[in-house]
Amino acid sequence: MRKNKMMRAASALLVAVLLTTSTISGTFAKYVTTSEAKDEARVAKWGVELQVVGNLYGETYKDSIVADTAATDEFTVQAVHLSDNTVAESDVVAPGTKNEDGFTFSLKGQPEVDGIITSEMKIQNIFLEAGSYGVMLPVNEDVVTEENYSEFFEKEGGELIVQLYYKDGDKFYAAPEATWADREYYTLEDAVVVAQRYYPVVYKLDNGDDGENATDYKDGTIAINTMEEIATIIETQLGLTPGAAAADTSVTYTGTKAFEANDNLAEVINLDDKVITWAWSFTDVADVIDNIDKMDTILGMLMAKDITPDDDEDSFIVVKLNDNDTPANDSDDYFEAPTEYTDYCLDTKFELKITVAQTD
Amino acid sequence: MKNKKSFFMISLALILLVCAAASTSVVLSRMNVFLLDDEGAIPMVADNMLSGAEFLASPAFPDEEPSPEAEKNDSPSGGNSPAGTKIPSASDFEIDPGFMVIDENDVIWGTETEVEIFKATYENGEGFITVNSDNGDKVVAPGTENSYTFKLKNTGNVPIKYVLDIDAYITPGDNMIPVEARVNRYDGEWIVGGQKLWVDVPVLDTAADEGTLGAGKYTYYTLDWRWPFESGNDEYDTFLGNLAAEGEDITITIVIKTVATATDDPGRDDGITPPDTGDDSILSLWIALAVGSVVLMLILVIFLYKEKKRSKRSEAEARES
Repeated sequence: MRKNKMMRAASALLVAVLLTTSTISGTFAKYVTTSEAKDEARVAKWGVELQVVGNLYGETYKDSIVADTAATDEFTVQAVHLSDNTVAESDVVAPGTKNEDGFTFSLKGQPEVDGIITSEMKIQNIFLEAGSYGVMLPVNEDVVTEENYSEFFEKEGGELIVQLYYKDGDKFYAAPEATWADREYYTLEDAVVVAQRYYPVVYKLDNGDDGENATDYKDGTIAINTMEEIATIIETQLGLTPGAAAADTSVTYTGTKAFEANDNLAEVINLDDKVITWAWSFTDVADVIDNIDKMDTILGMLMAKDITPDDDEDSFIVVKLNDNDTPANDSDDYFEAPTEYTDYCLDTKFELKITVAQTD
Repeated sequence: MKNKKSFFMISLALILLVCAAASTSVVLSRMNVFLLDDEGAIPMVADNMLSGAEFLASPAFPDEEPSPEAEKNDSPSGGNSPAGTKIPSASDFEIDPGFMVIDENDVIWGTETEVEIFKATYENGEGFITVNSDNGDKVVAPGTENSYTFKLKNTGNVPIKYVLDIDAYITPGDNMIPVEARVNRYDGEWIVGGQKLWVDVPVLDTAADEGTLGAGKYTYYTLDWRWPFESGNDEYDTFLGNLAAEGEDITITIVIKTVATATDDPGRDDGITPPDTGDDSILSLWIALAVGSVVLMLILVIFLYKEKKRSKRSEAEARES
């Protein structure tokens, strides 16, 4: 009995000690706790590479290829001022010139942000519209007189040996056989009939690594505006829309194309390392188009006329036949100066401006 | 008479059963709330354990000088104490301190806990992803921004004081990322920056705050950061992006530290009081009712069983006689 009581007392005391100890120990310590949070981030990637390398045209050409003006003085083609034969600081193209290295442009990268590609492209190409052209050269006033006037109307094989023309205002009419007049007479030289619009400069768009640059001979593509074909490809890739042709026949394309974060621009736009080359060859090796040389001559004369000094305006005049399509009355036909940008264009250009920016 | 008595006993047993069931369910439903609140709480750890003699020699409040008499006393239970001071004893109050930092994503801070201040993808106002890391790394870019809110909670029953400190830096250190930030407290006080004032990373690095929290109370802070889309220096932004594309990572790091200690002033009651749920029931009474009901019911059942047994025996004896 005593042992039980002792056990009970001991148990009760044990419980009391445990309770007391836990309570008091709670009052002894100094309490401190530390917490820490951390985060880090890196700058998101941009890395858009937009490159344009090379020139399409040049001021000078050596051996038909664009040459560095400063590097050599033996040029085959060079722009000069006709007034004083000084070098004109302007890019030129001419029959026999070409640019095989071309103009390389590329757009690539894989940014981690959304963006937009804003582009503007302007094209213009040299052409000679379909029609009959020639160059009116004045006849020396001593050559045609009242006494020998009729001799100029002698025929051979039913055709006049020489057709004289006279100028009335801005128009050139065939001189009438029956009536001589004391006026200036002209003959028509370098006459050529252009069957369809003629684009002498052939452009090509390639990856630049397959050797297929612009052909240096005409193969029938001169009837096609190859620059417009290239523009159509770029238009699709960059989301462009052509505007109306300007008065100078140039066409401006504008537009945008959006891309998303992590898009591979080379695959999305597909304009990675593209090369544009061109050539204006001398002859039509394929012999598809007639009168290549004469058409080139007309264009060359038009260019010369364009830059002729004012005091030499009437040395020659390039004319185009205005055919009224009334076969019964050819006397209504006349020649007059062709209209720039309607009948011909002497300028060619390719401009491409691309901006790539992040979108919010 | 006997039937009436039995009927009364059975009715009483049923009533006690209902009381027991009702009070048990009330107690259990309220136990859940207390459990969640305590979950994850970081208990205060002993940093400076004192022996009984040292405790008695030290003043209850740090500002007071220890008395010479207290140094001679060795009692662990706080018998002789410096005059004029009150040392809490087990019978008076059980100190149960606790502190926790938790953020808006329910992430509880520990040591170098990774949190979601930055992200790997960002959306624009229309919900479309406009920035997307290509490898899961968290990124920053022009036009990205984020807000990060975190809560400091006193989960104990004594006031605490805390210190908040922010470190911010860019690696490598010779580059600058045009990220700007500001930090404010729940009461509208700006720790760094302001409603219309954003500061750059070196200034964010100096941000700090301190305060106290009463028992059961909390406070919260919000860190806003942004990289303005139109910073006025597109060229530099592009330069940074191109460096990143070339593999030269430039990173921004933000570290937020909190240190909580017992306050010198146990009367401090700062901070936000958690919303009152409206349940002010006294659980102890309900527990007592539940236990009492069960015990009484058991006694009644035993009593009824014995009564039945006795009446059977009496009937048997009466039949024999």
